[in-house]
Amino acid sequence: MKRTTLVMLSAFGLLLCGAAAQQLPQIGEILRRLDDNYSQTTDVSARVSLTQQKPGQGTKAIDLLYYRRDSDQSFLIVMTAPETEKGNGYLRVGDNFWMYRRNTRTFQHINRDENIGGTNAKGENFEDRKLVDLYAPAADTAGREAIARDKLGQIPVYRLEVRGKVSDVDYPKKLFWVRQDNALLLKEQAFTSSGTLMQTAYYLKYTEINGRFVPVRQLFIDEFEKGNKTAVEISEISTQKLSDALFTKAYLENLSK
Amino acid sequence: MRQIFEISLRNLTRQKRRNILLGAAIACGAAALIMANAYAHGISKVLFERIVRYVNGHVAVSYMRNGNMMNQVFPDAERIEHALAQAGPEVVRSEEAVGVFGRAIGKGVADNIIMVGVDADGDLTDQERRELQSNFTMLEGSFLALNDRSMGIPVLLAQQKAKYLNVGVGDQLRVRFYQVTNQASSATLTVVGIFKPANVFMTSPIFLTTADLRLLAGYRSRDIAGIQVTLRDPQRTAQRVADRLHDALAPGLAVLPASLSLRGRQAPATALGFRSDSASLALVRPRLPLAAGDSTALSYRGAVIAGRLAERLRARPGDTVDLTWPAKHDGATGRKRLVVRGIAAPGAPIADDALLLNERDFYDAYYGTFPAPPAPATARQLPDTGNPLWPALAPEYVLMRRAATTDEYTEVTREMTRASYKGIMVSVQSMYETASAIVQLERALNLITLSAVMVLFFIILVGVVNTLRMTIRERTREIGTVRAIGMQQGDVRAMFILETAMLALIASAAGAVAALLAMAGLSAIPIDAGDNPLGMLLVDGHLYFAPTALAIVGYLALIVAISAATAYFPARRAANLTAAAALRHYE
Repeated sequence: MKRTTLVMLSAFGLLLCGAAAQQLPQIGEILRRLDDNYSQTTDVSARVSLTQQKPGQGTKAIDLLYYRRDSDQSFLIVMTAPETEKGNGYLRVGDNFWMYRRNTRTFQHINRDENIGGTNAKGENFEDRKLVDLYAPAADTAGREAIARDKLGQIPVYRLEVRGKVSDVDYPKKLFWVRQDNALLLKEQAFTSSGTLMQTAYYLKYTEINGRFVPVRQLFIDEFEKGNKTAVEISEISTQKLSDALFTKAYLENLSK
Repeated sequence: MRQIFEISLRNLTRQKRRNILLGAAIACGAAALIMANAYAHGISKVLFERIVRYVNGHVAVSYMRNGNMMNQVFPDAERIEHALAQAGPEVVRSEEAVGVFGRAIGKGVADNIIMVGVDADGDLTDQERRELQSNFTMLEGSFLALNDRSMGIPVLLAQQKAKYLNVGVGDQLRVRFYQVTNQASSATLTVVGIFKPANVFMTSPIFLTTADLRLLAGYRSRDIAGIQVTLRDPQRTAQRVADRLHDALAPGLAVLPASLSLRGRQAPATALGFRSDSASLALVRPRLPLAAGDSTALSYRGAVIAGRLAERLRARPGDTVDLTWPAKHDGATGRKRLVVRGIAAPGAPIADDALLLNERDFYDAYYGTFPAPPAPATARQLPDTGNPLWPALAPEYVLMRRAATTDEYTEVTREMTRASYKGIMVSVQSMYETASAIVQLERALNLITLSAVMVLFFIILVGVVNTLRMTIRERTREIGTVRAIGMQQGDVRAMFILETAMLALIASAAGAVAALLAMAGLSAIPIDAGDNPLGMLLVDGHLYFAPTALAIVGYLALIVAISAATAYFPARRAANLTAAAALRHYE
């Protein structure tokens, strides 16, 4: 009897272990790991190149310098190309967000919804907002969290669906493909509330800096207006402390002289 | 006097050819002046009544949040409707103005668009309905098909836009846009009509019913868009109504009567917002001593709570508290999770149940689920203007000052876009203030016309003086005779002045009649302006003149006065002749 009980317990234990091996992580946990992977805890500076392709309009290359101060999440963007945008910039300090125009030498207060340098990127995209604050797990038809195992090429990933939990997110529904081994985001699809796919993003290459990951090569495909795509490359990343003088209007103005 | 009048009239008919020629010149001048004035006034009327009015209404209530002018949403329709009810009996109607920028894809082509809401079956007068339909001269489909829901979301396009997007009636357009909450959205629209635009401003928009556009743009049932008010006799009443609306919209303190909970404990609370600009923070910091939490407590998002409230909840800085409050409408409940940043020290000028939120957090909550008004007992404890924190406390919204001119309005708009304020800014303006530049344009056109016509009149008046001198010379002996039989100097002077004035009056009246006929003739000629932007100055493809009786009478009086003044000096010279000297005169 004792032996039978032990066998049964062992079998039950094995079953539990098997189930645990099959059990999917919670979406909230993955979102937290994504936040941990990306949130920089030091000052950051980098060179960013955006290459936009639009059918019938050819290719437009935009280069900019990006500086971010960790203490108050201020940031400075200085456009370096194309020539028409060179010297223009964006400065965010606290709640204030200014756009600087080199040709008129004026600063204008703008809102965080404003597009940066004629691209689809908005001021709010440069803010350090946590995914866990913005998105909540979506449920599938059975009422369970919408997460599944999947493969992207040969890489095992979790495919998960999230819904915006605050109103000021660009897209109210997103699908993420996250690597199972290190919780890096590889692919992201953004939908409208009616379920129309609007954008697919691929995070093609990461670099590790101080234990955090930066997606140094990204590709954004406009699914609504076919043929539009934007490639983003981030280089010359530095985490050295930046001078406070950098995050001032005077600095931006002087750069353009 | 009657005798002098008769003599002057008789003298006028004695030199028919000369006077007819001179009268014709005066008539031409008068006609030019009246026509130019009527055209300038017509331009002004067309711009105001057929363009500015549709864009702005006679009076407009508009909003802005986060510097975004397209974010035309106010979360409490009842508040705006209450103010409109106090605007006065001159208000004929008020309607929402909804416009959404986006991008449309037709057949293989994409273009930027603005979707504009129209009230296809609104409560319009016959004249307004005619005017509305004159703006939509349908080439294909029908205007009323906008109400036909059997084809999805129906829209009307200008022929230029339809051609560019390569679509016709029955075709579908895919559009993407941002909702009022700034979320990306998309929709499929069905083209039910293509119209010939009445002016250049009608070529770009895609028109759909206001109800459809409200849904697409993400307005909630109690949200209200910018308001356009239609008035009786707007030129006279618009400013007055705008002033009344402005007064009725004076904001109070924004209050969120709520309940705060932490780890199963719950306490009633009154949430207030504080402005987070540097000046407000500088005001609040020394006046709000903290028992716990550091000096950054007020700078970042989160809450500072009253000491007594913290005691009841056993809250400490760093705790996460849940704020819940009943909504004003629909029985909903608002919720917000906050981090406690600081606890006010005893003696701080806030109520025992108060919590202060950074304005971004506060307005997200306040506008997100518009709260029910505070109970009378709570309202009595709210800070008033005597509270040292008052200038930094968040109002329901900021009501912008009234602007008297286009320039002032531009300045107000600039202030609104530059402000770091996180709440809604409300502006009330009449179209005569917002577009005062059009009134100035009319005045400038009138001034230019008057100056040009005055040059013409100077030349004509040289003719008048010359003619009068010739007349006096020819009639010198006659002057001697009438002086000899007792006519006084003043009578002689009046005779010549009256003669000239009568000539000017008759000629300018004839000029006015000619001008009216010419305007009627010119307005009957159809003009196809095509894509020329100046086509917006036409009405139904015709020139538009707007003569006014006051202007015509005024110009006639001016011409007669100038002619009489010109005649004064030669007439005085004739009157100063003695009878003997005049009788001795020989040619």
